[in-house]
Amino acid sequence: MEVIFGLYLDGRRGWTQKNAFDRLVLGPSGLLSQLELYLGLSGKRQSRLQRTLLFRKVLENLDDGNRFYSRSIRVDDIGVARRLLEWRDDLYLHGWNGSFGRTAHSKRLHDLADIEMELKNEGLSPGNGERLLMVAAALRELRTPITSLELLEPLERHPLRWQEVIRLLSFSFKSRFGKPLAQPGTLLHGLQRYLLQKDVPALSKASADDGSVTVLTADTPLAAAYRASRELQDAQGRTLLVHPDEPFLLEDVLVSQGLPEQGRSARGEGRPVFQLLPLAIRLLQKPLDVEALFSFLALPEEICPLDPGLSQHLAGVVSRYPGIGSREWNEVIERFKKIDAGKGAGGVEELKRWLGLSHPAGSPMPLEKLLHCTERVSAFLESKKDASADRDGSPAVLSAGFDQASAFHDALSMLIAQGVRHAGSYQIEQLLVMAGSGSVRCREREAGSVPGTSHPGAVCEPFSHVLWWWAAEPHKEQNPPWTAGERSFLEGEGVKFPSQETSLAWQAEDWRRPVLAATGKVTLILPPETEDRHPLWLELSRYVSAIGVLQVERIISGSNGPAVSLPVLDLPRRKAFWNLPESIILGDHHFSPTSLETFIAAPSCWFLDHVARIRQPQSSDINDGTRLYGLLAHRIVQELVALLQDNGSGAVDIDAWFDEAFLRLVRHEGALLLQPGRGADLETLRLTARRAVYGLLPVLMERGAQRMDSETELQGNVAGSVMNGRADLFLVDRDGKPSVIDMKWGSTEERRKSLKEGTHLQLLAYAAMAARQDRDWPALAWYIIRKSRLIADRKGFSAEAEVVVPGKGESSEALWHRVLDSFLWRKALMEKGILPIAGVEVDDDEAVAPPEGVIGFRTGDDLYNPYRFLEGWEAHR
Amino acid sequence: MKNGRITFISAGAGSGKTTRLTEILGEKLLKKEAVPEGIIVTTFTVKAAGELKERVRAKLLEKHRHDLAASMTGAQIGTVNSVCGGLLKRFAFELGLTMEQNVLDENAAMERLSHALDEAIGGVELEKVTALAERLGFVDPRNGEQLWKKHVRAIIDHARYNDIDPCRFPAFAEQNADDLLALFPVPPDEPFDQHVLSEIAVVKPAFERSLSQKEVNVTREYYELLRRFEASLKTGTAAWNDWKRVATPKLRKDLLDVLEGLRLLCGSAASHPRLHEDIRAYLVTVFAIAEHALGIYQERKRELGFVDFADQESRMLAGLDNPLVREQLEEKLDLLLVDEFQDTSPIQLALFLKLAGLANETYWVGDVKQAIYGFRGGDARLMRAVLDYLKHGKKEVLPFSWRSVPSLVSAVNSVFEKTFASMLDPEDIVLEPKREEHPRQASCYRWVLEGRTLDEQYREVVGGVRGLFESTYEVHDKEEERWRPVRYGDLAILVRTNSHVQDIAAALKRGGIPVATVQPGLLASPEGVFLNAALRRLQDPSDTLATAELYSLATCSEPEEWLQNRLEYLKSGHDPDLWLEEGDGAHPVLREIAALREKSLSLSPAGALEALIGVTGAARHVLAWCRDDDEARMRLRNIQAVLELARDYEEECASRGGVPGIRGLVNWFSGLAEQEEDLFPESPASAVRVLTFHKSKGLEWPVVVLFDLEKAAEAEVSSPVAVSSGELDVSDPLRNRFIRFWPSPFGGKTPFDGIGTVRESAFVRDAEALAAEESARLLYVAMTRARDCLVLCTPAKYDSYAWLEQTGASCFVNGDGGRVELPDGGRLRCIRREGFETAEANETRHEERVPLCWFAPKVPPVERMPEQVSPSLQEAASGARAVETVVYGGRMDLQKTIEPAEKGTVVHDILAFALTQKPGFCDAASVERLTGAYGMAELCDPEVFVLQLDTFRRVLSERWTEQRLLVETPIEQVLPGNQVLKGQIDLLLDTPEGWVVIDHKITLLERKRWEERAMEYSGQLDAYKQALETVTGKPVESCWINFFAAGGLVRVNV
Repeated sequence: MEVIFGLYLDGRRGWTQKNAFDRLVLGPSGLLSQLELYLGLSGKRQSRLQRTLLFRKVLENLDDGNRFYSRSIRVDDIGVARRLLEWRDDLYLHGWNGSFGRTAHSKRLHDLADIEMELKNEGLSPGNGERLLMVAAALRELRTPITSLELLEPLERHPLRWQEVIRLLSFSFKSRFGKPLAQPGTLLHGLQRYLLQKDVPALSKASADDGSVTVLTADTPLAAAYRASRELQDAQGRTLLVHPDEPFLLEDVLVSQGLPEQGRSARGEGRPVFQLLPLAIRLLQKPLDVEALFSFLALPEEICPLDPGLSQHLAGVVSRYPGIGSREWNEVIERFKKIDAGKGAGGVEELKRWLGLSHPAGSPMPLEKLLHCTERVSAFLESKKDASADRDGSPAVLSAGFDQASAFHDALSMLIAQGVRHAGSYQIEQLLVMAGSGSVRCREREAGSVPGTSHPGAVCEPFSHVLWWWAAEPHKEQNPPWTAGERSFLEGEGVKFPSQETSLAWQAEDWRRPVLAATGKVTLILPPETEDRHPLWLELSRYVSAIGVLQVERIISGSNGPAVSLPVLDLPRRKAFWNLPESIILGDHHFSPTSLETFIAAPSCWFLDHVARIRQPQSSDINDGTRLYGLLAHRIVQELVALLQDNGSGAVDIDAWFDEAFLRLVRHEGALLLQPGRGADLETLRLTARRAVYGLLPVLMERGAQRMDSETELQGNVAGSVMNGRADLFLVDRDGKPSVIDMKWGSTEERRKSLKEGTHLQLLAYAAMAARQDRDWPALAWYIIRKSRLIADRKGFSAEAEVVVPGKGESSEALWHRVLDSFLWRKALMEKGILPIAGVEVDDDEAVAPPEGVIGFRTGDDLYNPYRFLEGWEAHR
Repeated sequence: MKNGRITFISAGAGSGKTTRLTEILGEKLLKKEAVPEGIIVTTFTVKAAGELKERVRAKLLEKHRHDLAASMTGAQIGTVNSVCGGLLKRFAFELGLTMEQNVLDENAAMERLSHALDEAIGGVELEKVTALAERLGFVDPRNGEQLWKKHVRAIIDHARYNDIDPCRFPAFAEQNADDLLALFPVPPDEPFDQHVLSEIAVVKPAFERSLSQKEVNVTREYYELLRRFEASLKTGTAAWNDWKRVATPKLRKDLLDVLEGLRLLCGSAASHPRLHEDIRAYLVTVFAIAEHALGIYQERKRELGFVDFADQESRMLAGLDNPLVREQLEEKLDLLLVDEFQDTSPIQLALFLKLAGLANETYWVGDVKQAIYGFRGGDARLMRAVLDYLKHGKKEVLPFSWRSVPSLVSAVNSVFEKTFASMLDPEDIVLEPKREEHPRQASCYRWVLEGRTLDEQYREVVGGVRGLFESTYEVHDKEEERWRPVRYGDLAILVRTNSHVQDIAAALKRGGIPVATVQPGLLASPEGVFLNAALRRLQDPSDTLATAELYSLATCSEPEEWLQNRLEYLKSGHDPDLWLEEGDGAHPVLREIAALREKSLSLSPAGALEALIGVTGAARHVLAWCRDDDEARMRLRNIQAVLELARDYEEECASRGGVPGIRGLVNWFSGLAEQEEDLFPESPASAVRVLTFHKSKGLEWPVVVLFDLEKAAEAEVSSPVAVSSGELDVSDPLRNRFIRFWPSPFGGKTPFDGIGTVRESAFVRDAEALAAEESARLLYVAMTRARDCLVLCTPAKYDSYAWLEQTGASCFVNGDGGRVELPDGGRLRCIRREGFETAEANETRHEERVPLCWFAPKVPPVERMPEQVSPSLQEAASGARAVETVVYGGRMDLQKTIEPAEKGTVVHDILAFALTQKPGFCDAASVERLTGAYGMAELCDPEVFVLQLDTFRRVLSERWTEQRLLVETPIEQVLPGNQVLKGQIDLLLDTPEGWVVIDHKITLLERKRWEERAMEYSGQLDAYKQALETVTGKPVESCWINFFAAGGLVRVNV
């Protein structure tokens, strides 16, 4: 068997597929496994996580407070174990045999030797260095089918243990790129000579422009990816693609441009399937972690352990009333229970299982509880995986989640076996990351994809065209941790590390390899000058300076390579009105005071919402900020009214009632305020709500002496269309005079202004509906919760009220007629197919200019208008 | 301790600082006085570090030192934080730190700190501080947010950037209260509030009378104020600025007369004993909260393995006292180079002093005239003290200006030599110009703006800029070394605030001038909206708003068109959510998103956005809207910037312990837009830059326009600030650091307005002097950004320009223009312009647009096939037959509880080993060892296994007498359609008749089912046969399935 062996070939594909028999191209992991197979040394290995936890135990056993790692392990046991295990494995790889012949003066080396002694009987799976030692020993006695081993790098570049193994095989090394491979006389040939010899004079521009070397730069990886796709479409012969470590965007662009999938590992932790376990753990720690609760309920159906009929509705409830136990929450559960006696009850039980456990926040988590939770996740994912085995793509994704849960479970079991009882947040986080890191799945390469590599050292054969996409500064490689003294000691013990200078020189050799591998053409696409470019470019640029760097984006003006013309489109401009070909008949649309206000203020928004039914989903975000505060304050007042209705004011301890009701409501409907970091908001709301309650109390007693209702259902009509709505407070005083109070969180000035101008539409709508019911037009007021301020439309409303007499002193009835006129005028416009757009200045003679006596449209930009991006664009956007 | 030589290099603006740094580094490396890994260089920005690294590499390559150039990656060149971060990781064990030290960025740190604040403060304490803050007026008038958190944060920040132990906070609180209240008027004996309430009771009827006669707004407002003030006084919640407002009404004379007594009483609120109590209580409370919160914050970070920027510096500072760390650094540190030294914080200063003691050689490079970060904790006075101390050491002055034309250099020399005379030597101020002057042009302009409002002035600036580009004005091209006409990218407009940046940028855009500035609004740009809608649509199939946005932007159709389409669709009775996604009228963008939804389970949020950019062809849609290639490049950058935000989101989730998701990303985008943190990237195209004076540091442009010159610096005397108390020890600059905090209780623009003793105090005077000095330095920075032309905007509505006056630079705007008379008697030619065109050109301009181009897509393949074809996954071959069965052994007893796949692996491995080695080598011990290595010691009886193996081998040698065994042999065959068949054949016999293919199976089957089962693998055998014959050219004699555990072979003809 022929083997081609390179240091960077594991998991990469920097060579062309061809007919081959008894021939392998392998990196270190591949070759080691193959050798072990033939030599009878294979076996089941512990995962990296398992080895780390085993090592952790030994470190802890030896920790007497004086070890070099003693202080660190107390803040980061898993991180320390992982790091020291890497050091240990690396020492073995470079020649250590597990002990030192002499006494190590370095505390670190001394401690590492002690650790190694302690490890002897712990059953730690061997690291690569130890495995190579065993392979070398076996090779001296046994045979393998490997007849030749061709090295891509010289022997001295391999770690010592590899060198020993390689020497026992029939190996050879001949630099594949030791001389220029391009056609003599070409710029590429000259460049290759320059890279190999360094003393070739630069070419003149005239002789340089032969197309064998193209250097491009792009403003963005996106444009560079399109350019790369162009190169690959044109690819003649053998092309190699070199790219940075995570070429996700390139891959997506290539596929969208009709090219085959290059195949690469998918982004790790962010995938939805990896979310279930961390969410379950967060809910285990704190069921009222509203963000986790919402994310859990809103998980995609495939990975949500709850019945979608329950979880999706509850997600909607939590988004509006963030908490557990609101009226709406309970209604959903009750409805679900009824759908099918067995399924419904089972589903609710399942919900309790996932949300039922709680653990005091901030204290370390008992591992047994974590284990139990992980088992549930694991079992769920396994069942899902099995159930979806016939669906394209799903099993692999679900397997990744299952693997993560299994690895995490194994890790917890090991820790428990080691006597660990609790885990802190940092440990859990680290274990989760390590458990997930083994589950990175590769997307499948598609037929027709070109060889590609993220490491230039993985290039192992010539290519007619080498395309290097986004040649940016590579990640800095970690230096070995050893000091000069330690290195010298280690060398005496047979452990040989290359010097940093040597390592860097090797690295520079690797960087040159893609350029040296090109026989016909090299295309280099660089980041812009403002970003760090690959150091190789600096070296090349001295030679190829004459050809210049082409800007990829020049294609936009058609001046850089083949391109297609794009259509010339103008973004729709914002205009004063839309003119639909058909008449808009309102028909039987129902109105509420809120939708009436929208109809008057911004007819197009009303139309898009109520007629065209263009909507964004309700549950995309968790209710927070003033919306949430307003909601909670409304609820508090509703409860206050109910309390007063039941008991009258004299018999009630408002303070005691408030404290209980406020906290209960927050838990049920505003638990976001119980999250870390929200304490100040919660307290501020508590103070504000209490102040608002006390501010409102005398008003309720005075104006509501005869009748006091909250959320009063009212019905009426607006110019023939049905209207209904619920008034926040409907009160009747002892003289039988009604009043309506609408509560708002803030915007005092705006409310005051609307009263002053007589455009307090919502209040007028309530008044009109109430008048229809009781014949009396009620007194009206805003109650501004944030300021505990009552703004009323008439004197004598209350001693506490600020009075703003509307308009020119017209009655509510007169003002309502103005509203009706305004409504009818808009309706008439719509019947002509005209939909006015609010916020656009219009001349007086335009069709949509409101005539005298008609309320105008909303003015200015409205950031809260969800349809603003559909209404057209200003010229400068 | 090494005898680290410190050289201070004084590098004025444009004096070639980076060139000098490159020289130093290059020389030290070439002369082997330093090795790359022995070099530490700190720079102010990441960009500066990159530029320096690149220039040093280029210099080394010039000298043909490719080895050294390559090894530059070993040098630690970066910002102070990145260098500290690197060192802390390196010394994690020595310092007892976590291994990774995940760094919290400023936003994440702020969030964590906010959590800590919450934990630090109980309900009662919160109520107390809230009430105090309300009474003292520490409430942001724009959003009603209380400022006590800001004060606590500032105290914490100052403590951390000055390495102050929080246990000193209680003493700081008392000290501040004592110092400040000693300057307040002494409280009187009589009951203050009672008098005030009595006075209010007296005056109220007069107002009620007045209002009943005539409703006057100001009277009504004052009356409301009185009512509220009275109520709050009774409940003890009156705000101190209300006392002031009551004392200073703007009313008609008769009412003022009525109010005289009340005004006098309220006007003396500074002597109110409760005010004194409030101030003291506030100080004690905020310092106590800060102490507690800081403790919790540090503890939580420790638990979660995080560090923030301040931790990096303080830990490194402490770490440098660790003997092991010192020893290792001393062994290696050849050269320490600190760039922009003048902007280091006090703790960084202490850090550099310690590091200098460990380095062979140290260079501190900077310009004291450009220290402009006092607001971020920089202490210019401390800095100067250290530099004065260093005067005993070595100093190098870069004497030339390579940046600006001689006329500008001379003007700046002349003005600032005087301004900085009290603190610097002339050699540190005056530079000798080295460039050529333009033969004809003036280098200074004064634009007189006639507009009264800022908006009008912005329009005039746009007119001025347009006029400049339409003129023949020339600038010097550094690359081409010649004078050429000015372009958009040659000009920068510098202003004082971020809101002015945004306003001027918007005015320029409206005026049709390309502008590049870091301003919010990216997600509200059409391309931002497109990508956001695509994400929403992917995540939620019921989001028809996203559908409409995508369709509108992709087709640019008028709303009437798509609305009609929508109405017709609704009438048709189809599912409203599937509009444009399914059926005949579906749009490709929406169809592709729907197709991607199927795969979304495997996509991270950023991955989903990348995929959406691909499948929707976002780039093509966006380019179709663009007028020219400059706009097109900008919009492409915007797409990339949105993607970067998505990646930031994932990182933020990782650092917060959050769980990333597409829904979360969409909400995060909304949050960014709301908080105006969705910044546009810098334009790659030639565009006018608009930025603040502070952000212009380190940059240069041919033409620089200065706006906001009329605004003088205001001293921040009412916010926490770190100062040195007592004697300054320059070798230990952090000793005696103190946090001064004098809260001003009455609001208003001028702190302590009306309390003359405080305003005249040494602290306030000193703070004002420091602010004025920093302001002068900021003007120096601003004026020295210009290479060829400096433009000063002077609104005509002002008689004087406070900033210029404060700095001694008003000569630039004295007189009517034409010539500036400089302080040293010199003259500068200055051209005055006024009467600018203010029409917005873009509004009336109708450009002919030509189509732009983009990369053509390839016709996608009809069917996407995997590259690799696995023989073992092939279906049974048609026409295959089981033609022969050989029974060679007995049925082995394999442990049933083990998973079949695991059993298969171990049996295959034993067979591979056994058949590779000579017969008999694999004995029972070997089998036992291998099964044990897989943790399956109980798999089988090893003796039985060996017996079966020997029998199998004997059968092979008897049947194929001339044979060579090939074990686990790789084969690869390129198939039509670029597919590749790839596999390893378990066992291959090379015989004179051809290949014999044998595939091992471990299934324990009854004899009668062997053939049937063997046929299931006929596809695999067929694939091997085809491949072998194609690749080797040699025929396959026969193919076999080896039921090893059952002890038989079945030959399959394929």
